[in-house]
Amino acid sequence: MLCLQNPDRMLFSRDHRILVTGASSGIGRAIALRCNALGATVIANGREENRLREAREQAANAEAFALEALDLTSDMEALPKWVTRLRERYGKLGGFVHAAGLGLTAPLLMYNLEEAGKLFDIHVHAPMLLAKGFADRRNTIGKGAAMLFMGSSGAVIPQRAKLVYASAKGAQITAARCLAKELAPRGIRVNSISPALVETPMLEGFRTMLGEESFTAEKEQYPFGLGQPEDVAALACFLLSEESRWITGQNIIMDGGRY
Amino acid sequence: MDNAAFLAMLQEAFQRGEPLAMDMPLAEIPEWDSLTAMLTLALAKQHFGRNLKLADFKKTVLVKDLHALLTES
Repeated sequence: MLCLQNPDRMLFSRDHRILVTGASSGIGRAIALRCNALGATVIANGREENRLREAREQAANAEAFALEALDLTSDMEALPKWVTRLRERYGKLGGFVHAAGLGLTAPLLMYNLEEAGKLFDIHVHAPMLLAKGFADRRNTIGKGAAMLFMGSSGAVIPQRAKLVYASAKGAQITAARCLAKELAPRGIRVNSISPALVETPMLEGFRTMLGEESFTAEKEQYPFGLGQPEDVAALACFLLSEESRWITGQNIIMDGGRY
Repeated sequence: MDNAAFLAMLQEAFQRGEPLAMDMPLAEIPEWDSLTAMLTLALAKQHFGRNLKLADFKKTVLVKDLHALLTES
């Protein structure tokens, strides 16, 4: 995909550095690979280096696909300084995508404080501390920079047994909207994408839990079929690029017509 | 808080690479914007127990005026 407003150039330049969390698999990996293919230097984060290496093997420009393995919830207070170290290593950042996440399907009777805490850590606290590091004017390019958070359609459309997951995603989406207001004077845009069911490894757990019959019934609610990670990645690249320079503070639902 | 500690705190709050000096005009510091001003309000409360308003900053011209505003009893 070339830049629509200037078809002679790629969407991103090589010195546009984008940090992508959750880049080992699923939506995060698809976003990292697409940003890389469209010219950006990607700093790919995931918990396991070997899985990040597998992702890099698929990269169009492997020399511009850096690997930074880190469990984001292991020491969350240190995350802003970690972003500073990334800037020292690679240069100022132009984009940040938070796609790392945990799924959970559990009804109210199974509400567990420790488990809920883990979901709020990875969906709210970790991304906000990363955002704090990213928004530091010593670490970011400022005007032209963009942040993107992976929400969930479940945060907007209530579903049974999704209260913890959906409320953590809902908190993240609201925080992103606040950040958009706060950082607009510095030229930094902040948006969220809220996909419905996308065919990722995380979906397999949901499928197993739901059972084949219920899963098939759910799938039939999608007139355009279940989403693919690449569907989300296409919108993500647009929102990270200058093509969307007039869009901030939005949460865009992608659900293939299932609403 | 002595001047050096105050300047170091402010430099971090301003997310600024270069050091600050007490006689610098705030208006000439590129990092001094509405967001930094809000952050300074929070620092005033946290470090000096002062409940300031954004309007209070109108009186400040130099960094040392900000120091005086935050530390005056």
